[in-house]
Amino acid sequence: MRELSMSAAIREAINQILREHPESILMGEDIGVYGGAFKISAGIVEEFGPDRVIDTPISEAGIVSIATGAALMGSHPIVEIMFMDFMLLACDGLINIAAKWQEIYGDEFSIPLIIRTPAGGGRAYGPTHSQSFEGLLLNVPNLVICCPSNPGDAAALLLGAYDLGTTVVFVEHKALYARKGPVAEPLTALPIGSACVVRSGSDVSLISYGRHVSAALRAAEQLAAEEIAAEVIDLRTVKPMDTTVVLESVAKTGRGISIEESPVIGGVGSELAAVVMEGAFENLEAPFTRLGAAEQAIPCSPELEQHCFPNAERIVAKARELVAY
Amino acid sequence: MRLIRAFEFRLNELFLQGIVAGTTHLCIGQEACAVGVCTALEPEDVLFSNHRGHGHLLARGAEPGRIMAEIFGRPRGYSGGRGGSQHIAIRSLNFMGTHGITAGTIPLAVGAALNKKLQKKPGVAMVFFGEGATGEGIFHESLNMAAIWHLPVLFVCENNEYAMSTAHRDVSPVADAADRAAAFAMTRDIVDGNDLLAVFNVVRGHRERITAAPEPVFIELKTYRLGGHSRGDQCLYRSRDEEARWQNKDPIARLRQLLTDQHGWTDARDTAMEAEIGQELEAAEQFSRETDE
Repeated sequence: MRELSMSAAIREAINQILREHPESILMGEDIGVYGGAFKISAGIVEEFGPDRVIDTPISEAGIVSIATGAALMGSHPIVEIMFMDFMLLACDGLINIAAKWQEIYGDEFSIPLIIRTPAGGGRAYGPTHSQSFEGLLLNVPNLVICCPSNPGDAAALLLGAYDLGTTVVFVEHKALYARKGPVAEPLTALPIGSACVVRSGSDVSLISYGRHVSAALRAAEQLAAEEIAAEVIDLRTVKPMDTTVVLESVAKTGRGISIEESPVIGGVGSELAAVVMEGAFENLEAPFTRLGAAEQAIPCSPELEQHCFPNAERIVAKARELVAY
Repeated sequence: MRLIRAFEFRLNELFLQGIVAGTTHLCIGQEACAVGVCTALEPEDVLFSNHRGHGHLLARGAEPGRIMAEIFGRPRGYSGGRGGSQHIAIRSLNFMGTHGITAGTIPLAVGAALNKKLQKKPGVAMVFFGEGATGEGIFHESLNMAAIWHLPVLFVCENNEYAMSTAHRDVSPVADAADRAAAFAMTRDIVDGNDLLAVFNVVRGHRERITAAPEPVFIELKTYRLGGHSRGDQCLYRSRDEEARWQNKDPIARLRQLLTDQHGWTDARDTAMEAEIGQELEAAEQFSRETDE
C-alpha cells in the first residue's frame, strides 16, 4: 500500500469530499492561498475557488455559528479552527446550537458540520497553542469526537464523519501531520464509533487514541521483551466510545491503562475507568490506571513540556506495576 | 396583532395559575414589530428568532395550538415538548428557530444567507433580536462577516429599551442600536416599531432592494415591552410614568384608530374579531390540554 503523511491523507480526503459533494465548503482562517496554518488545505482553493474555500476573519465564534447556520440550510461545511485552544471561543455555537438543534427541533433540523482542529503538544507552542479538549468536549451530549492516530485512519474517518451528516469535532494531533503511514487507494470511509485492536496481548490493555497510540505500541514492544503481553487499543473516536472493544479487552487481560493527550481529571481516561468499573469490574486484577497530561498549563520549553505528557517509558513502568499488583 | 396579544395574555394567566411550568417571555406591546416584519417577507425567506418569539411565530403563520402545546410540554407541540417556549422551529414555514441564548441566532441567519448565496437560492435571511444582543461579541462577528461577504440578511433589532432590567442607555455609549452597524459600513434604518405600516414599508423596501443586490441591512425598531421581561418581573427598574407614556403608543390601539379613521373599522367588527380570537385560543388551549395523542 502507498505511504502518505497524515497531512497529505487529510488533504486527499478533503479534496475527495469537495469533488463528490457540491454542498461541501471549507471555512477557516488563512485556509485559502496560505493553505492553513499547517498547510492542510494547500492548493485546494486553486481547484475549488474562493466560494467553496472561504477565508474568514479571526472570529472563531462567528465561523462555527455561521457554518452551523449554513449547515441548517443544506450546506455541509468543513471548518478549520487553527488551534484547538481557540475552540473555546466557539463553544456557544458548538455546544448550545450545533450539538442540540436536531435533538430539540427535530430531524428536519440536522447540522451536518465537521470542525477540524489541530491539537496537542510536543511542538513547544506553549500554554495556548498546545491544548487538547477532547476530554472537555466528551461531556457534551450528541457531539461526535474523532481523534485519528495515523494517516490511513485520518482520511477514512474524515470521510466517515462527512457521511454521518451530523456535527463532528475532528481532532488532529499536530505532531502527527508529518508522520507517514499506509493509506488505501482509493480512500474509503470508516464507520464512526469503532475502536480497533492494533496489537493483541493477554496481560494488560493499553487504551489510547491519537498521538499516544504509537507510544503505547513502543511500550508494548518493550514489555514483550519482559514477557508482558500488552494489548493496544486505538479508540479512533472518543465519542461515541466503542465500549465493546474496550470491555472485551479488559475482560481478557484483567488490567487497563488509558493514555490520553488531555488532562486526566474528568477526561477520556476517567470515562474509560468508569466504563471498565461498570462493565468489567469482576475481571479486574489490578486497579484501572490513567495516564494523561499533567494538571498544569502546558509549558513552552521543550524540556519542561516533555514532563507534561505520557510517553512509552511511563506506560511501561505503569504496566509493570499493574502486572506485579 | 390581536391574536398575538390575546395569546400572550392567556399564556400569562396560565403561568400565574401554575398550569404551565417553567418561564416565558411575552411580547405584549411589540406586536407591530412581529407582524410588520413577517408580512413583509416572502415564503422563501428564512427567519430566525430569539427568546421572545411567540409573536414572530404567530405572525409567520404558526398554529397557536401547537405553540401552546409546546409550552405545555406536550408531544404534539412543535418540538415534541423538548424545547418549550424558547425553542420552536417550523421547517415548512422556513422559521428556523426561536432560541434561548441571547444573540445565538444572529450568526445562524448569516449562515443561512451564505447558503442562499452559494446555492443560488431565492430570498433573504432575517433575524429578530433585542438591543441587549448587541452587547454580545457574536453580534459583531456576525455583522462583520455578513458585510464583507455581501450577504442578503435583514438584521432586525427590536429595541424595547431594556435587556431584562438593564436600560440600554446604561450599557451602550450609542443611543441607537443601529449605530453599531456603522462600524461595518452597513445600510441602516430606524423605525417606529409600534407603527405597523412603517415597519412593513421599511422592511419591504429593504427586502426588495437586497434581493436584487445582496447586502445586509440593519433595521432598528423602537418599541417597548409593556409587560415584564419574564414571569415574576415586577418592573422595579422603570417608572410607571414611562410605562404610561408607552401605553399611549400601544401599536394595537394606534392601528385600530387608523382603521377607524380611514377604513371604516367599527366597534361591531372589533367585537366580532375579539370573539373569533377568543374561540381560536380556546381551541388552542383545548388542543394543548388534551392528553390523548
